[in-house]
Amino acid sequence: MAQQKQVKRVPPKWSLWFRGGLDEWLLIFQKVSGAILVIYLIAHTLVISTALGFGHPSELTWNTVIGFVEGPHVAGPAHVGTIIEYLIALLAAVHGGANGFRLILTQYFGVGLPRPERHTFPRAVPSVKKSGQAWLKYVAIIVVIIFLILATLVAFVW
Amino acid sequence: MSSQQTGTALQTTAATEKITITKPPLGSPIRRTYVFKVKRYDPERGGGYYWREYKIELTNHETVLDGLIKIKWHQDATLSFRYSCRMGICGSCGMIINGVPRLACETKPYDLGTEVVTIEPLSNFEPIKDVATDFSDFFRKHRSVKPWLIRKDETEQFEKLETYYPQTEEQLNEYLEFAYCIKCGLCYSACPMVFLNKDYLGPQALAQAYRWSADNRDEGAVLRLKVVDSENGVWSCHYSGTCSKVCPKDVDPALAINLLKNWLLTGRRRR
Repeated sequence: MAQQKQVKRVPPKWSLWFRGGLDEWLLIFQKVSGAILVIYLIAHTLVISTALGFGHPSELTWNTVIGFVEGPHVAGPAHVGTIIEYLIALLAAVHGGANGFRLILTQYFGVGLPRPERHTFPRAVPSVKKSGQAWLKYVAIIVVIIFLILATLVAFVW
Repeated sequence: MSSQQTGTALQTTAATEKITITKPPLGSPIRRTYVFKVKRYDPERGGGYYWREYKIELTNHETVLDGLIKIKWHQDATLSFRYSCRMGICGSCGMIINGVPRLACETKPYDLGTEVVTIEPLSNFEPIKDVATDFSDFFRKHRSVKPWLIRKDETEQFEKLETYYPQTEEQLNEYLEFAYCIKCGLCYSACPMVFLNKDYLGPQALAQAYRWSADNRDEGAVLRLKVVDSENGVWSCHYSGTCSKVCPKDVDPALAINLLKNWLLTGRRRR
């Protein structure tokens, strides 16, 4: 009978993520933003359903529930709850979208994918670090920042 | 004291077409004492992993593998690790050195620049003893992508073949990059998705699936694409690119996986 393993395999080192560069962080944010969007969808549905009294709407229920979720008033239409909701949901949606679009461009349309060639071993530059793909990553990050600024202006200033 | 002994040796560089080769310092070797902090595991001892420290003197020309061999000879004969060729060909001595998967025979403590060198078994692999890990799953996944030449006419291939299958230089270059794989398991060890999905084939097997499918002499691409077009195949790759960054042979498995995805999505191989 085979001896039962006492020790399981260990996960890759986190230090790798700090050395690697943008790709690892884009992957982390992609996974986190996906999880946030799923949680947000469920939470949002539950909150609105509760606020609408599960099919028996009343102003009192709505004000009580939404007032509790929104928390203290900050300025104008902004409450603590709305700011948190705005930041989390928007960041997740915009990052997920921008980075997802980058992955579609690379993997479906082949943007930034170099042709395999007789490489200059040792110290050949891996495709993920070549400029053909690097600019796409920077564009995705810039798009996220621009969307955030515009959305902030639209939601709270204009 | 000469400049070499103080560690500021003059380095000569010879520029080639694309790469710069830095020659090691000339003259007498620079000796330093290192602390090898080894993460050990003994199935008979029980209790999981434990750390042991060894002091060892090495020159700037000696590798981590040299240090481990010295420890085994002179300090602790029970220390277990796997190695064979000592020259970066066999891919046996992969281990996590200072947090990064590397080949012990190609890593010099002097180049790492730290006094304490941490050595751990490869992540994502089941441990056997100390730094030696079990590659059974890794090779099972490698075999599952059929990494060999598949021809429709097997009789011709194995019995009646009178000459070589022709291949031009250009056709060779389409897969040669991926043929340098030495199956050391460093990419597999660095991949976060292999840890999250134990059944994921991993970057090594997928790179080999592309290597053989892109070979003009091969006629088995359909069989391989069927294997890799699954949840545990290319679609488990979320493109962190870590595999390509740690590969000691610059194989670039991330490129191979993306080319496979592109092939599956568009229905034709990208040339």
